[in-house]
Amino acid sequence: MNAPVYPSIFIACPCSDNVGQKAPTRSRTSNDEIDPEEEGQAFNPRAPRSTFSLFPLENLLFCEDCNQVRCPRCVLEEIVCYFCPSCLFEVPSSTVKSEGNRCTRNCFSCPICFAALSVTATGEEQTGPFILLCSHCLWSSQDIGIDFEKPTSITTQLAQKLKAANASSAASLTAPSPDSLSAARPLSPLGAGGTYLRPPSPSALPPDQTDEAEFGRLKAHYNQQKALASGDDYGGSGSLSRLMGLYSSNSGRLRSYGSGALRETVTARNKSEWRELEQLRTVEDEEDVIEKMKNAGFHGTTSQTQRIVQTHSPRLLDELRPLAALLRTKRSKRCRSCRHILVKPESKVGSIRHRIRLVAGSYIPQISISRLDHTAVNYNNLQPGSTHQFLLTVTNPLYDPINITLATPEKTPGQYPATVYILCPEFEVGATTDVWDEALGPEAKANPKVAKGKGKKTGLHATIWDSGRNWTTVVLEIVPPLLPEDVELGDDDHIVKVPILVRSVYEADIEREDTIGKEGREKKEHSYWSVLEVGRIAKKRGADEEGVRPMSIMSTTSSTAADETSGPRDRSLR
Amino acid sequence: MAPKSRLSESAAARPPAILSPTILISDVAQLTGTHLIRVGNHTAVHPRCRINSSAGPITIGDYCILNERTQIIAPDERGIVLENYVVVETNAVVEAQRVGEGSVIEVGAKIGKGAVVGKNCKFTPLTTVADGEVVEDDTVVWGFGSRRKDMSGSKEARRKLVERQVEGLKAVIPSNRAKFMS
Amino acid sequence: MPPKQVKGEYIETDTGNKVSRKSNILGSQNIILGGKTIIQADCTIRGDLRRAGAPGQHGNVAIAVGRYCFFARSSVLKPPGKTHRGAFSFYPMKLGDHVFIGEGAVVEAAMVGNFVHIGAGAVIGKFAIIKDCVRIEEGTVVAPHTVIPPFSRVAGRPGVVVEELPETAQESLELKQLYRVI
Repeated sequence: MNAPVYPSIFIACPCSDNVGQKAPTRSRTSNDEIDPEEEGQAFNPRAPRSTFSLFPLENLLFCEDCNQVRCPRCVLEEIVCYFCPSCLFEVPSSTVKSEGNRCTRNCFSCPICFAALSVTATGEEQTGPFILLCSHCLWSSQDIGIDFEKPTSITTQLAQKLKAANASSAASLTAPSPDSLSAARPLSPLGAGGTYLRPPSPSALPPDQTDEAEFGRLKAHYNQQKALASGDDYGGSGSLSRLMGLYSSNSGRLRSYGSGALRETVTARNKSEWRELEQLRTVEDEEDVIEKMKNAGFHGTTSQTQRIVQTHSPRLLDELRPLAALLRTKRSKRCRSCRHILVKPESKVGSIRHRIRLVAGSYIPQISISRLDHTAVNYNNLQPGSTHQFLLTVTNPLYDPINITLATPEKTPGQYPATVYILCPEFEVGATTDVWDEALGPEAKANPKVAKGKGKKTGLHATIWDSGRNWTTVVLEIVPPLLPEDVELGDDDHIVKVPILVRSVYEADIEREDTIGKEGREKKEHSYWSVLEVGRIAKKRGADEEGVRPMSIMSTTSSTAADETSGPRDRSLR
Repeated sequence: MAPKSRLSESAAARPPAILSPTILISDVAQLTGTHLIRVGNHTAVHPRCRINSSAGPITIGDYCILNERTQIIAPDERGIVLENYVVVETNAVVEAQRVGEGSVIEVGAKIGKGAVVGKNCKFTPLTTVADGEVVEDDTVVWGFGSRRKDMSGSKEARRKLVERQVEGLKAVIPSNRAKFMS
Repeated sequence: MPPKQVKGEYIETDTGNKVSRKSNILGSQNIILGGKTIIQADCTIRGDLRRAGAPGQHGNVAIAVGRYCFFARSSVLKPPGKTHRGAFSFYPMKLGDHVFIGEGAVVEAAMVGNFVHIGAGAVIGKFAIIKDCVRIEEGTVVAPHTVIPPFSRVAGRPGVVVEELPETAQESLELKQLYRVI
């Protein structure tokens, strides 16, 4: 799919706390020299499992009661309604239960290219017969010899046509009619196992027929089992041994199919079923299949994608069926731990409104990254060993000002650590005011604590770069590692991934139903690990001994500052 | 019929053109080049369609539709022939030697230099045909270059629709044939 | 659309639309822009392809565009046309608010909802209906008559829904910020 875009920012959902770190609130005090063992405490974006807990902010919800972000993995979904994505009609759940999860109107997609099929008149002046035509690849239902008398209720017509086609082709088959071996006789255990392991070829027998016959047989089989089971007293040794006997055996007549072979018990009853299996085998005659494939040629066979979306996995193009549109759902989402509703969409299919929508973006501070000097930094070509300066902007979605503390391991986790330094790890971000304030007072923006351009290029330590009404920008320095050229590296090693702990503390009005009148403020805090995928490290660079230890460059630019800021950083993370 | 155009001073940049009187050609279509451009009956040329005969003559058949921003470029001195009922959609670039009757070249498709396209082919949007390639009749090039044979039997119907479309276009796009004939 | 102020490349209308002088807008009397819409250079908007019948009648809108739309360079907007009951006609195209059309994209949809992002080079087939909060990836070819439901990400040739967009789609697809940039 799309190439990854740099820089990108992900947020770790704490729903699986054991991924890469302990609970983020009880994190290490940062500024001690990090030794390798200690690194385990920071979130490790390169841990194989961390991929499953990293999400872009847009995909995260927020549970107010748990005061925690909620990712798609830690919410419970409930279906609000089903609808067809093509005709956008809502489908009642009763219909879904009885008719299946596909549209029963005229919505089909092309079995070749999956574009939508449209009902097209073949006759003069919009008269019948009608066909389903793909406006992209020009596949039509006539390719498989099907047309329709009327342009409505195509699903019903198609079902009839396919049944009729099957009946006629089945009659011409020399194999015994599946009806004769269906419902009346139950499945043998071997038959069941055999068919699961190797389904009878649909190309030999019309697929629907095999399906229907198969279904009939399974039904009869389980009905029989049920009848027998209820006859015995349940759990009795007789029924148990009989059931066990169905699926295992040590009889002499073994027959294995593939690796996980199922075996057959030779009993008087099973003998007849054995014969039935033979019949199944004749149906899936390979010679026949090969002959058909030979005639059709390579261009007459289906591709893997075409095959797997069809229920009967056809081998040849002329066995393809129009695909009835799969229904989609609107779902509400609940917090998995406290069951509060986080998202509740309006049930109308076309509506994009939500009655409840607690998204993380309106609760937790958002971080974004940009280049300080647009000409110096290419996200896809970071120079190893040299200091890159980025601007890290924290935006506050809350109506209260927040105090932000950023923390990051000085060396990023991984075999080839990049060195990271946040010039100002502790700062305040103003509150979001409502839209009118923004519209009326652009001068409100003129409240910078640090004049822009001051300390250009290097930035001043422990001071912010720039700030606005509800955002603050600080400088972030990253020294990408020099990658060895003689070692085979994974693609992941070329990407600078910086974990940053974002902690926000703020005072908010106490919201309690039981107290009359909201009095007092309470201190709240929230923290999360984020991962900045800053960019790709340049492939080659002249072997530069200085570059091997990027810390040296680091220290030349900011060693004194590091000492100065060590105090606040220390405190902040306790 | 159409008089042979002479290279007068006022139209020095204009290529010689034989345009059927039944043609629909927009005021802002661009005809450039030096070789003869011949356009058949009831063909519609949209605004900002570019036809370039610098390298060779261009012959366009009856009931063709050339949409806006298409480029019809003669690849070499043998020129280019679009047979009847050829539809070229927006942004498409055609440098073929010949495009067979009833073929449709969709949005942004590119037909390489000197390619020979059979009858009733369809090139779905953004597909390409290599230089000098020969494409058989009834081929559909779709997706990311997959090919299949059209068996839908809709070619006759498609031609009818093209005729109707030209009629419809005549109602909305003002034609200025005279401009290109001078 | 009388120009209110002349400021560099763009002509700004009363309702805050910014239209590049280098864009190709045909039949502007049949186009309605809701306001704060940006039309970049080399854009082609075919307002001249209006509905057949009652030609020139007042209120014969070919393309209706909402607010805060952005049509990047070289994009093409064209009302879809078809033959119905033997007569070919174009049908109006409606775009909602916050519709982004990427560079070189060609849109012939019948309807595009609000908060829709159409990536660069994408092709939206005739009479496609794109509902609200949809992201069409770059280079996607949406087949004619396709319906894209809300909160979908569409990719491929032909384009199919590959993913559901999260609840925050509306915020990430809104274009107010983009308007301020131009």
